[in-house]
Amino acid sequence: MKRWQVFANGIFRENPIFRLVLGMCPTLAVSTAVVNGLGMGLAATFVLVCSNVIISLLRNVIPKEVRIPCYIVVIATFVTIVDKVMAASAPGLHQVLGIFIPLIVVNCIILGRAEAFASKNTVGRAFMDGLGMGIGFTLGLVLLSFFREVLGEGMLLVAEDFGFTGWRIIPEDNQALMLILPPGAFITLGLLLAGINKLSAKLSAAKDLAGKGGE
Amino acid sequence: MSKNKKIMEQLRLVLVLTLIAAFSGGILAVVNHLTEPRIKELERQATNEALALCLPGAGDFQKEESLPAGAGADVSEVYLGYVNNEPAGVVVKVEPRGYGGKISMMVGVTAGGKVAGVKILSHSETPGLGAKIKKDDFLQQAAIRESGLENPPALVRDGGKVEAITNATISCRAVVRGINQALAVAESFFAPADGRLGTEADGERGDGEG
Amino acid sequence: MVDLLLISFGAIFISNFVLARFLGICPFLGVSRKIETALGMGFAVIFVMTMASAITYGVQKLLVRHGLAEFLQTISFILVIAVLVQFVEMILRKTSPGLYQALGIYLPLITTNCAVLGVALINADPGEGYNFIQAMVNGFSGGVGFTLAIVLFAGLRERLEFAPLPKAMEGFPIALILAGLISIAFLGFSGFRLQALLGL
Repeated sequence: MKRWQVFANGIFRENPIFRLVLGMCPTLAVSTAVVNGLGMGLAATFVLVCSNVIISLLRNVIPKEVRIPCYIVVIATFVTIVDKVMAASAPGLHQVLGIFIPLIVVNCIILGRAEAFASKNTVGRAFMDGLGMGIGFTLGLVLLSFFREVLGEGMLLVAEDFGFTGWRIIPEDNQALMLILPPGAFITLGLLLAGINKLSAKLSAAKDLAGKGGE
Repeated sequence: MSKNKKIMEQLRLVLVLTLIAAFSGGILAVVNHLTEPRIKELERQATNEALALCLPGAGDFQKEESLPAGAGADVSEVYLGYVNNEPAGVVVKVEPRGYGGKISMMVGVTAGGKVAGVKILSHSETPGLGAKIKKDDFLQQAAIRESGLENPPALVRDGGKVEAITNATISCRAVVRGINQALAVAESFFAPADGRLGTEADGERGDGEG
Repeated sequence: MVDLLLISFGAIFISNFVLARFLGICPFLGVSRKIETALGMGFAVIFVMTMASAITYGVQKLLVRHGLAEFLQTISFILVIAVLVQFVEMILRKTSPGLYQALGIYLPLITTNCAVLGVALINADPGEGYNFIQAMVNGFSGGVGFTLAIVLFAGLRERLEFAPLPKAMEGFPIALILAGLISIAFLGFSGFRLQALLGL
């Protein structure tokens, strides 16, 4: 696989949210507004890229028997850095994301990539993999947050922390409140997954057809 | 020989793990050192902004070392606000329980015993319903803005004048309870035992309590 | 005693760890195909969460005393939890091979179960101000809440196997929508005031 393929893999074919269905806790919890989703996505991307690079660099040093604790320490270090930097630069967002920032440590995507990819590949490829997975995760979060914020809150792009009041899409008191509440997270993601399944089934069917036509 | 080798191998495991842990501990100490002042500064700024909003005009705020005796159960912090080194009022941080959890809010009370400002700091009320307590439509209504010790706020359905948000009575009642606890704290400052705000308040309220 | 009851009721029903706080979703979706395994996973989580609450409480006290809590909290909590899970795995393998087989690869996954690290972080939050006993009750009840949610969910999923579904809805999509419906049911507990019921 070429490097750009490694990168694209995380965004489409193995998208962490829509394909691997990993990292569900932050996905469901913080997707109440696009800004929150974006913030969580970027924080996770930073941790994913950094930990992938470091673990790839140390892949010949870390003994197999203690690899998991080593990975956890590396990941937890970058998570704490993100936590501190976010608290010092965007305190409002930091407060909203709250406990889910330290919980990036146990995001299955990150430990999963360390174990399945970074520990077996060169630094360059590990970097691309981290970036692709991170951006794939961020895109998934933003897409889910988009639906929840627009339909549930009736607003788009509210970001009080950055002095942005957003646009009202649905008149006040007419929005589907349920979508912004916890059940709405499950249901919106379920419907989104079904939609993507349908779409990719259609796409691959079309591809098959095109392939046969060409023969 | 092989036994020695095994021990060496074990030592290597421990050594690598310890090194990695020590290294990351060091990095984190540096990062913490760099970000700590900024985080503290931001926290201080946020508190000062909220204080200034709750007691407009006051320039300097002093946090009380201890809560006044008899303060309500939800009161967490009390600040005295000064204008030209004269006490001008109090700001009380209260955390009444709403529908979804604690509502953290600040209430300013002037030396005249009037509510000067209310700010919701954080809450976990239902979005779209209870969460509307943050909005001016609710907080800036006359029944809250013009309330004070003489006319403590109460919801319409509790016999007062404060209009509750539709379908969010519990959240609104919690906010009103917070304001009343803040007023009670302010009152203890007017009492003879304390008297730091006593004289001014007496003149305006004229009920001869102090 | 009453405070413990309130914490417990809150962690199980009002803000259920899985359905309202979104902690421990991965095992909730991954190990819920059969009631038996769900129950086994639930018990393992209850045990680990209670133990983790107790130990991280001590770790937090130690960190605060040395002024290290600001930046070493996350890293030390997760290491303590990882060691604890390893320990539980060892004991389970020796004493109950059947259960060990059933939980298989999921036991190491408890390390990365956010409910465990989550409860440790919630207990350490000065805003909550939990003491040792309260922290342990919170951990235990959080685990019970997790078990309740996952067992209910597994019960529904077992029946779902026979339901005719559109192809695109099979698997995760319908499972998530089902979880949403259970979450709606649990929403009925929010704003529920046990204090009022107990006459407090």
